[in-house]
Amino acid sequence: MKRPMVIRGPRLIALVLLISGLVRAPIESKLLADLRSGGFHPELRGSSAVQEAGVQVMMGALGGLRYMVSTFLTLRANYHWEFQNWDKVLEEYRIIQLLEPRNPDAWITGAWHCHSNAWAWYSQDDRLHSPAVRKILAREWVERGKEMLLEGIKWNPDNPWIYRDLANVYRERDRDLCQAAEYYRLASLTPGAPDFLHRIYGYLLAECGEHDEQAMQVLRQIYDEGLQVLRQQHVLIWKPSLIVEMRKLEERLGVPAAQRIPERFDSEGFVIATPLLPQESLPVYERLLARDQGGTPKDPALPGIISKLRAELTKKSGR
Amino acid sequence: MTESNSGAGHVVPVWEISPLRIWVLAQGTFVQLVRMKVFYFLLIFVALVLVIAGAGLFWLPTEHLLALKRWSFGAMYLFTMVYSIAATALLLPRDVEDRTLYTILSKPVPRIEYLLGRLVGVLILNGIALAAMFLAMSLLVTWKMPAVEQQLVEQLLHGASGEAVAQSEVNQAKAEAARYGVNGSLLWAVWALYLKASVVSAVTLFISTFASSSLFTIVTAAMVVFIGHFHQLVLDFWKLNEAAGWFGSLVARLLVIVFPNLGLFDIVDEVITGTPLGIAAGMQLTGMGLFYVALFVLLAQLVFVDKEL
Amino acid sequence: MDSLNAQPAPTEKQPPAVLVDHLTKVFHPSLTRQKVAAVIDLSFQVGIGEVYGLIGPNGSGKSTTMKVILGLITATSGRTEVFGIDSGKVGSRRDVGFLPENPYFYKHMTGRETLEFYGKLCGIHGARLRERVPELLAMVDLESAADRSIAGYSKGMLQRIGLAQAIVHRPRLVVLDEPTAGVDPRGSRHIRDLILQMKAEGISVILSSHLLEQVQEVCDRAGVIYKGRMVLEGRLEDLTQLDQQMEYVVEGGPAGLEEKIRTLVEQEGGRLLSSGHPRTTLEKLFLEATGDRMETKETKGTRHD
Repeated sequence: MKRPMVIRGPRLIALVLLISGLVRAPIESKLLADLRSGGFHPELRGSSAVQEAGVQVMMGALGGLRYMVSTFLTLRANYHWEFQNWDKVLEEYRIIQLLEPRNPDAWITGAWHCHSNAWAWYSQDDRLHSPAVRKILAREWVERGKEMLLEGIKWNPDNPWIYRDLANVYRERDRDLCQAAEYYRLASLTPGAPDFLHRIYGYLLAECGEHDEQAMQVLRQIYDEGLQVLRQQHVLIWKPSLIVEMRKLEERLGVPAAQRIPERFDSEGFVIATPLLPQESLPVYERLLARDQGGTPKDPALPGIISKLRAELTKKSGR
Repeated sequence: MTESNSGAGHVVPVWEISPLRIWVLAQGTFVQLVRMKVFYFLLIFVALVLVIAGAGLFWLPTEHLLALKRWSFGAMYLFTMVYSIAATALLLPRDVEDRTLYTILSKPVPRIEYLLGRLVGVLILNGIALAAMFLAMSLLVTWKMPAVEQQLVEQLLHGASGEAVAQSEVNQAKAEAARYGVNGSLLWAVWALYLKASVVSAVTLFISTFASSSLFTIVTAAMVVFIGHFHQLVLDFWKLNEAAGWFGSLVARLLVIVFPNLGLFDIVDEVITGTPLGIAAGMQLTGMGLFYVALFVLLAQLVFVDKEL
Repeated sequence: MDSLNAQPAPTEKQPPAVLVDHLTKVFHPSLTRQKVAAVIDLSFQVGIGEVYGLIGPNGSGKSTTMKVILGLITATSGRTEVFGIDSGKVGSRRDVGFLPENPYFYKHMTGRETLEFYGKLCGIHGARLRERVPELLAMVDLESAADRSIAGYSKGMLQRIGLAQAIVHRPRLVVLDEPTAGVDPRGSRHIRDLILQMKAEGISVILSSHLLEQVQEVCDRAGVIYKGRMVLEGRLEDLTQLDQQMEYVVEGGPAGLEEKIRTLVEQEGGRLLSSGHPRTTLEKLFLEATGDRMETKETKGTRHD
């Protein structure tokens, strides 16, 4: 005979499920909070909760298979690229981004197709449209690329390369060096970002011309850090571009000579060939000037610096 | 005293449960599943996946390694989910249909031992398959690592346009390369996948105790797995939309309480892209997985002990 | 032939091998279908060392009764015990072997693996199991097919391997559900001989079969179940005896002897109901016809009439 029990069958099952659910709910909440603080399972951000819900549904449904699906879609996108079907390339990448929103490459590569490949094609293919229309269409694709990168940043706020790519779009397509500098700054602030991102931020800030003092602070800090390394480890980590940009800023800001960085550094018995000797720095400045030719020279101080260097070299060679 | 039920609603003390008998049943289950042809087809598919992923269809070594890891984990996910549901769903209904269950339960085998033996057999198969796939992936990744390091250092040098590159920056590039390799967090990712597969097996076992056929079991288990991925979505959505009404929030809460939260174990994405998982979090995940397995085995036993054969 | 087991002679103080006491089992298939009373107030006992036949038409409740005895289903009311232990307890199955009707085993296993599997489930391991399995394979004449997959076994082979797994652990009670179903006469005779040997060893047997002749040959007692109720039960010799009739078999004698016997019987107040030549059975003819071929194949002994 059966052992008598008050509750049996489906009611018992339901009761056990309910009790276990109530017991585990707070434990799971804590575990979820711990995982989220460690960078796992990001929350819905709320700005486009419905869209993100859709993404989560797709991710949940496909699970681990979505990588395979997105790989096939990548191959398809490459096929469309060969035939310059930019709309289809964009379509494929939008799905890839839905499947793998936390894969930075999905955003970077998709955006690259927009702001570089599609832009170049529309800009240069004279079989299509009038020049004016081509310019408009090319511009549209650049904007699409930027939107994509901005969306990618929402899903991957700690990835420096999306910021870097966005900065490069501003620099190369929009020629907006200040905005580019800002995105390089954000890139440099992401966890584990390489040092050169901060350096390039400084260069772009210097080149954009609107934040000279701030740029000087940034570059001076990098210079001072290099000085420390030089003195302690006898290793030179300054880049020539650092010195070049600092020179230009010193000119523009009218920094007194005594406070400028020396042309040649000689301290505590170490003879250092760099910062650049005049014969080394002159070609660099001339290259910078040549780059600006064909358009309005960006840096009015350049011709002056070049003249001084040439004069100095002439003097030396004359001795 | 903790007791478990044998057949006919009777109770067997825990000390009479025989691990040896459970092991015999588990071995039998393991051999049965391995000798099924579908296992070989699945293995071939997985091998194909690894070959494709290892073949270098991608441009850069870094992309290649990421794709290799993603495809490998995708294959592991596919194998374990399919096997956890399909293999477990076949066991009990087929035994009832073929009446092999009569022959087993007419021996001094408590029903809980039968359930545990079948489940453990599936878990052993999943474990061995995952370990083999992970080993294959690790060997491929380790083989490709020098190319990745070379690529990143070359990118750094190329970006420097011939200027001197500091050793610290080269070291940074190598450290970046190491992120693409095999590390402790990947082991946690495989373990999380195994925990999830174990929970899915236990859920499927529970469903098979009251299901009328294998097909019903498979379909129902697949739906439970599907729903189990939406816990976080439901909770987050409900938090953001508290004006959704009492009915909506009641449904949301019931869903969260009744269905297992399988999304908790989905840490592969982040691990592949370099987020490390701490030991404490890993142990908590393990505890959660074991809790779910124990819960659904208990539920299976509560149904099975009174099942008329 | 192998000694299956050496059992002590049953004593008065030992509980019966099987006790079924006012057993009732009602099935509730689903909400829309009517309840089915498969067994109604059934009571019987099987003594130690006794062979008990359970006979009845299809759907009479034989299998249900066996399942309750084996603890596979629960009784709605009443009780069943095996050697004094409630059937629902796992302990009651330690000394029980079961051969189901149309037995199925795991197709992926070989015959040998099947016996090893069930042996281990019964707690037999190591050297004991290694000795026991070949013994059983020889007993049921499956040595040549031991390493073949069960999927390739014929009906008769399945029945034989089923019998082997039922007795792998030398049980004191064996439950056989249609043990000779689908088996040829030679195999059937073999199984019958095994049952008789179990009986000789003191093993209790419950046997259900549609082949009434076979039940008659091996069983000590029998119960007839019809629509879930026991309608007839007792010792076979008592059940089958026709008290009012006597049978004499005469050999030789002159013509006209039959008429003289008829007259004598009528004078004494009786009636000669039938006369004629006794018949052999088809089974005996079959065995005689195939006996030479089997003996030539297996042994080189001489044939005995």
